[in-house]
Amino acid sequence: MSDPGRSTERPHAPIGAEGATATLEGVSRWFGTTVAVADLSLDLFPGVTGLLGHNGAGKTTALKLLSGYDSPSAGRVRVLGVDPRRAPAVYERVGIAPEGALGWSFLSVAETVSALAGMRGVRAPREAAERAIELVGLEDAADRRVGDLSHGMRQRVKIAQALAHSPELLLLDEPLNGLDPGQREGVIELVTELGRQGRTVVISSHVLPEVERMAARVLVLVNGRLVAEGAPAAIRRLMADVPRSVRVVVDRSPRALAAELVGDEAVVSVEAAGPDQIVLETVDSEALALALPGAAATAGVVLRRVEPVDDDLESVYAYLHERARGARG
Amino acid sequence: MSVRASRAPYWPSVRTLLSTSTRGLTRTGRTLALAAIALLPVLVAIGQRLEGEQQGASVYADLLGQLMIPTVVAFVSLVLASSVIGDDRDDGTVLLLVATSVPRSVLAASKAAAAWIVALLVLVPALVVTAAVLGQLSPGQLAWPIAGVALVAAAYAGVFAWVSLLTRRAIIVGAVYVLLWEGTIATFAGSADRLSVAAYGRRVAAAGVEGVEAPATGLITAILVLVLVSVAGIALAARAFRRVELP
Repeated sequence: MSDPGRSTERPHAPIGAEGATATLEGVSRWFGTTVAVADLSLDLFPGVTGLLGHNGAGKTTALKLLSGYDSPSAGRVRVLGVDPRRAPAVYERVGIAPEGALGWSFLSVAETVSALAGMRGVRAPREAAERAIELVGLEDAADRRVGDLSHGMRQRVKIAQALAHSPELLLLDEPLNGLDPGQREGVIELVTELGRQGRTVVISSHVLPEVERMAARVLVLVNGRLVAEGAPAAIRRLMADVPRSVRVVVDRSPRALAAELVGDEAVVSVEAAGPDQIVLETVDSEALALALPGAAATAGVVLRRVEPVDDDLESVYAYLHERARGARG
Repeated sequence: MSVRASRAPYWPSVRTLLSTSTRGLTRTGRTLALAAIALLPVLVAIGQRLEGEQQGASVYADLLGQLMIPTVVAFVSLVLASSVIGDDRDDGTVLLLVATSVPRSVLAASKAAAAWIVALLVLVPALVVTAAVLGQLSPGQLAWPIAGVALVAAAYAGVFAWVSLLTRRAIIVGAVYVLLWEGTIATFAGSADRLSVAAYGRRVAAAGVEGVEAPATGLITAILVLVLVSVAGIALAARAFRRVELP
C-alpha cells in the first residue's frame, strides 16, 4: 500500500524495548468484582499477531486498552512509545477498526473515510480514501451512504478508514465478522500483505483456522490471562493435546469394541454409554481415527457414527487455562 | 513529505466535526420536537394578544424571565448537547472520532459548538417571533435577550457535553435539573439565584428588557460567569475523553 501523504508532525517517541511497537505491562482491568484482563503483559512486533480467545476472554478489553478507549486499573500501556490516551497525535500512526462502530450513517463511504483521514493528519484525504476504499474492494459503493450498507460492507468501511492514513500499527477487532467467504478471502489477503510490509497488525478472533491464515504469531487469552503464545502451528499442537471425549455408535456389541480399544495408546478411558455406543477419551485424535476401523473389524462391529462430545472451543480454552495454571503452580 | 498546510492545522477537523455534528442533530425528528417546544413562548404571547393584553412589555419580560430562559432555553440546549456526543456513543462513532489526532479539547469544543449552533437556530427565531407578537422589537429588546439566550445555551452546551460522557442518562439528569432547579427553585427563590445558570442569563436579558427578574449581579459578571461555565464544561468534557471508558 502506498503512503497516502501522512503528516510528518508525529510523535517521535522511541519504540518500546526490544523493538516492540506496542506493549502492555502488567495490565489489569476490572469492573467492580469482574476481572476483564489480569496482569497481562505482552509485546507486539511488526507482522500479524492474532489475539485468540473465546467470547469474554478479554480480547476486546485488551484491544480497547491498546486503542486508548479505556485506561487500565493497574499496569501500563505503551503504543509507539506513548500512552495513547494522553498523546492523541499517535493516532496518525495507528489505525483502528473497532467492533460495533458505525460512523456517520448519513455520509457516503468516501466522505466517511476521507473525513477521518483528514482528522488523522492526511494532507490529501480524498485520494487516500479512494486508495483505501479500493483496497477493501468497495469502489462501487464509494458514493453510497454508510447507513444503507450491509453489515459486511460496513465492516469493510471500518477497515478502509483504519488503513487510509497508512498506519504503522493496525488494531482490528474481529475483522472477518459478517463477511461472506469471498470478502473474507479479500480481507485475509489484505491483512497478510500488510504484515508482509512490516506493519504491526493485531487481529482478534475466536477462530484459530482464520487467525492462522494471517498471523505468524498467536496470543491465546483465557479469562483475561495470556495462557499461550507462539506460532499458529505450536498453538494448534497445544490444542490437539487437549483430551477429547468421542462418542462411537456401532450396530451391535459396543462392549466388544470397548474391549478392543482398552489397550490402545490413543485411548485414555472407555465407558459404555448405551446399547449401541461407547464414549472414550483420547489425547490423540489422529491416532484414534487410525485405530478405530481396525478395532471395529476385530470386534466384528460396524461403525455407524463417530462424533466429538463437548468439543467446543471454550472447553479447549478452559483446558489451556488449567494447563497454564498448573505450569505456574 | 510535507502535509500540514497552515498554522491552524485543526480547522479542517473542526469543520468536519461541526458539519457532521450539526447534520446529525438536525436530521432526526428530535430537533423538530425541540423547535415545537421553543414555540411555547410564541403561543403564550399570541394567547395574551388574543385576550387583549395591552402590556406587551411586561408579558415579554415575564416570558423571558420565567419561561424562555430558565426552561425552554435550558431544555433545548441540554437535549442537543447531550445528544451531540450521546448519539456518537450509542452508535460507536465516538470510537472513530477518538482514534484521531484531534486534541480532545478541540473535539469537545467542536461538539459543544455544534450543539450551540443548532440550539440558536431553534431558539433565536422563536425569541424574535415572541418579541414581534408582543411589539418589543427595539434593538435593545432583541439584542440583550438574544445575548442572554446565546450565553445560557453555550453554558449548557459545555456542561452537558461533559455530562453525556459520564452517563448515558444525561438528558434525564438534565431534565430533572431544569425542572426542579432552574424552572422552579432558582426562578422563584431569590436566594438560589447565585447558583443558577439561567439567573445569569436573565441578568443579561434584563440589560435590554425592563422587568425581567434577575439577580443583583453586574452585567459583566453575569457574562463572565456564563462564559466560564461553558469553558469549564468543555474542559471537563476534554478531560473525560481521556479518562472515561468508551463503549
